Amino acid sequence: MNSASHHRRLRDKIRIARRGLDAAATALWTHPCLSEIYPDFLFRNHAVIRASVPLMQAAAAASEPHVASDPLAAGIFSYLTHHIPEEMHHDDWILEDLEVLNIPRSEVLPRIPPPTVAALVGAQYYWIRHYHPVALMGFIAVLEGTPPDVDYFERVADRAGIPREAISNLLRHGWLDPRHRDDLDHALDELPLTDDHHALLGVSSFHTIHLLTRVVEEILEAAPKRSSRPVEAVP
Amino acid sequence: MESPSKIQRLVDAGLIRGGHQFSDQDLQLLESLSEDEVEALISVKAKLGEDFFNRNTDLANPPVGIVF
Repeated sequence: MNSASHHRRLRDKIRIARRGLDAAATALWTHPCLSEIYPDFLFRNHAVIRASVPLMQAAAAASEPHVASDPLAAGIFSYLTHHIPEEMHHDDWILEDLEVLNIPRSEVLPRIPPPTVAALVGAQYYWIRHYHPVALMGFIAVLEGTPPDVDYFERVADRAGIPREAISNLLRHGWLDPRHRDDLDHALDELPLTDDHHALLGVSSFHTIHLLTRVVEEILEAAPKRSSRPVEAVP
Repeated sequence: MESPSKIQRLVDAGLIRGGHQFSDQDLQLLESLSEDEVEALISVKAKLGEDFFNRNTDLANPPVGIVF
């Protein structure tokens, strides 16, 4: 029996598995052609975020019938119904950022979301519908686990020549997500999780880390090859 | 024959470089993973530990930027 809190157990697993994601993120944000690949980053980020609220709605719908008889379902339902309004329309922020870069939403929305993103999000639908909606908490824990650092991204944008108006999505999440992360941790600690639930949270978070890493790597693989030297580290 | 430890399985799968020094806390964490979690790590070929990566930042967890 593990005596650590529920959120600590999950966070420790994420910490130990996310080194590849950290390395890919570092390569992205120090890329010498960042301003050229940033629109592709926004497109892929939008493909992920457009699913945030629908995913939570799916998990809430799967939990709701069991609220009266299952304290875990009740806890998940309570957390999600509180969090869904907080996440609504965040996908629009990315479309607004793209418009700053003269890429209208009429060009973005018709594009087929990448298979990697579909696999990232689609796995959550599978677990929600065919196994247990608590799996989604592992997904959210990864995505909201390292909130964008506002100062960091302002420096990244300035150095790369990206207008700050085009990183509004990152800045807004930088202001909001520390509290969202803490809310999730608190919600996890309140849930009656068993070791089996923890295993599902671990599997879900490992899968999320893997495919998020691939999403970032695909941006890097498609980047111009003019220079492979990363720019100076951003402390 | 005794089955290999979870850490040894992760080493055998190429996810941890032999000789990598994890902290006691992380060793305990890795050994506490369920069979399903170990299988998931092997399935996604997760690289564990710092030895695989050259990090160009001082931040412990650089922000990914892909958010929820």
